[in-house]
Amino acid sequence: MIVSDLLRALSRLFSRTSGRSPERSAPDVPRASAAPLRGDDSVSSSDFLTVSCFLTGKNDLSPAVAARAYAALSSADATFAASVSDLLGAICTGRLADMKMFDDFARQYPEPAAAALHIISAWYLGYTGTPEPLCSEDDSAFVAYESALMFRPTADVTAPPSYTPGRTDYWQEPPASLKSDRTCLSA
Amino acid sequence: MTASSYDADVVVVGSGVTGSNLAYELARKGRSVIILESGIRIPRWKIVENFRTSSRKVNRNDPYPNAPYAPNSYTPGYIENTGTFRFLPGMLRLVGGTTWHWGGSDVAVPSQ
Ligand SMILES: Cc1cc2nc3c(=O)[nH]c(=O)nc-3n(C[C@H](O)[C@H](O)[C@H](O)COP(=O)(O)OP(=O)(O)OC[C@H]3O[C@@H](n4cnc5c(N)ncnc54)[C@H](O)[C@@H]3O)c2cc1C
Repeated sequence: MIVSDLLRALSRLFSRTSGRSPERSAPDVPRASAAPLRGDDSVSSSDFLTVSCFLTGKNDLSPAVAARAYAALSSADATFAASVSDLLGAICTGRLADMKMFDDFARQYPEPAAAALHIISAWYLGYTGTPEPLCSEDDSAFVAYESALMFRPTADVTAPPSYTPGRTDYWQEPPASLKSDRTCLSA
Repeated sequence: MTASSYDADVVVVGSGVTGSNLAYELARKGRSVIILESGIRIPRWKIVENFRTSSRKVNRNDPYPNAPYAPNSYTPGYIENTGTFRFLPGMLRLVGGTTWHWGGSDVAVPSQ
């Protein structure tokens, strides 16, 4: 999918929930490619959601989870808002038009690329920082549990630990989709 | 008896499996028993909710109360570890004591 399609889709998605500023709402007009990435550090919640959707390749991320992720990541890193602004700029200008370009982008722009990995990590793991197993204090912060993206691939057959998705011992039966599921061997 | 005055044959300190069983057996034999517990009592659903909203699910103490007046064993400085390796057991401070570890559950292993 080319970037303008994606951004059009994203802005359709967010137009319902966001108060996007007009000067940022026409991202399919590429800026001069030589422009430096560094933007300002006034990032709106919909900017963060837009960047998150692009980085994860999902179009149904929750604004409430985004707010928690943004709060946690920006309180841990004073330059985080500027990195989000950079990422949005890079997406809009096509410097990061597709996540397949991410490795090249990261070589050129290590700072926003590091922030991008923190964003992706927060959406997948459902927390930020590094949790300590044997200490009541660490730098981790909660972002999401059931909606953490790492649980999606198995959501049809099991639920994350706490409440059972069905009857007791439901997990004894092999998933009905097992035969048709792609495995790493058949992929 | 007023609110501030209690009397019993036996006062048990701690409501873990040791204290609870001791109190139970003594009460069955007709003794009056009081259990003193430093930690709070919280319902299971709150512990489950604490687990679900914990950012450190690798930390098995995290869903449980950890009050300044009843710190659990993962509070920095609570256990002095001087061996050649790190050893910090996950001891809890609440009504029920360390039996609550692993969510206080005993997962049934299916017969097959
Ligand atoms: C990680 C872990 C895994 C375990 N797994 C198993 C297992 O699979 N099977 C098994 O059989 N055992 C297991 N155990 C061991 C078992 O859980 C404990 O040995 C047992 O629960 C200890 O019971 P206790 O009553 O002696 O102490 P605790 O349960 O620790 O209770 C002590 C209580 O006393 C209270 N207290 C302390 N000081 C005061 C005070 N001054 N005034 C008032 N109250 C006070 C505390 O708040 C606490 O509630 C495990 C233990 C750990 C840490």
